[in-house]
Amino acid sequence: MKRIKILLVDDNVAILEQIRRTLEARYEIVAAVSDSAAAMEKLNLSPDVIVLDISMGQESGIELAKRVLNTDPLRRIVFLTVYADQDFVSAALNVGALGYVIKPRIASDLIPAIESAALGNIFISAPLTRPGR
Amino acid sequence: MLVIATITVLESFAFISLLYLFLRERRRSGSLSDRLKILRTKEETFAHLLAEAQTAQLELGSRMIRAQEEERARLARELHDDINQRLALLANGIERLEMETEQREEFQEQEQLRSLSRLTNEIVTDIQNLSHQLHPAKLRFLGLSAAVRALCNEFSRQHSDIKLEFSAIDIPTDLDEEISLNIFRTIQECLRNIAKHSHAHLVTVALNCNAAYLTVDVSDDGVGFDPVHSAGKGLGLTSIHERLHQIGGTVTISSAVGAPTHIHTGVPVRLKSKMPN
Repeated sequence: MKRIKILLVDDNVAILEQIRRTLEARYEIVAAVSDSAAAMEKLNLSPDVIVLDISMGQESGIELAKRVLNTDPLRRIVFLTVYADQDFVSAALNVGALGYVIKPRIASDLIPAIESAALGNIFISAPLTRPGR
Repeated sequence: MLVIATITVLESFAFISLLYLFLRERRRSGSLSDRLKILRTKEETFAHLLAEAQTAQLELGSRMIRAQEEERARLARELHDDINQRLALLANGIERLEMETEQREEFQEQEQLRSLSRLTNEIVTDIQNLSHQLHPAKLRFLGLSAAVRALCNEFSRQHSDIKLEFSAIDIPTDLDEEISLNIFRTIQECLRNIAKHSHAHLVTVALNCNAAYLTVDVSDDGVGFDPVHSAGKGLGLTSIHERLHQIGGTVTISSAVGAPTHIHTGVPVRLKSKMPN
């Protein structure tokens, strides 16, 4: 069975390493990068799912997601962030992301979120509930 | 003959005296108008100096506010990008152990780890709130409109006796960060004053934007205040003026004791520079 290809984008190296360790046995990590320019470059590796932080250096993950989805609306994006806040969840879903995982729940929520996104379904970390769209 | 001569002398003396008095008065009035001119010049110089001093005071206040905001943003970044990310790693380690103990059916250990996980997540949330108070992340990532909406929602939660109506029309999500921050802080200050002093029942916060200009109107139906004599009395009006000066905007405060209050601000729009595609 074809392994799901993942692009990781987070400006925190320790978190990036933790995500890689959590996912690499199960998925193909095509690249792990720390900024939006590098992420745009790696899109040619055709990742199935992009795991993306919100708070990054110059450009936010939300802005980057907009650009990514402008170039290809079928890209699947899962946000991975510290912000446990409904307004952020709404903004993430409004730009077209399929997943919203909070960082303290990487171990339990990230894989289910990626699996859902790959199937085109939405996953949001507990205790955040899905807001009205 | 002597009498006539005496009269002539007296007349001459009187004439000379009058002439002297006339000339002296003329000289006096001449020097008076000169003095008036000097006074007017001095008055103009003082007015000019006063205006310059007021502008310098505004500049200084704006710079202090900018320095304070930069420091708050730095602390907020430190809390979010460093401490909270490391706590998230810690929470993950605990969560992984918790999952392992569940697989091994070590339920007592699992319960202990679960409470450690809860505690860590609470600390993450507290630090996130602290970071947000120092410098609102929503402003940066979601834009002015979403940040002010969240601020208004928070106000309504804390003051259920005051009805707050919020509206935002055509506010760009990519407004310049300095403009967004100072407008956000101005509204925050207005709402703080309303909560503390106004006894209002109804508050409206309206943001409007066209291509060139952003306006903000905050009104309340409270007890009002005297805007002229209230500056420097803890209402934050000075800092509102300084913030608006910093972003090239203006503020008009309409209120009176016993009357509703309306604060109108206008700012020329500036957008963030865009990342290349």
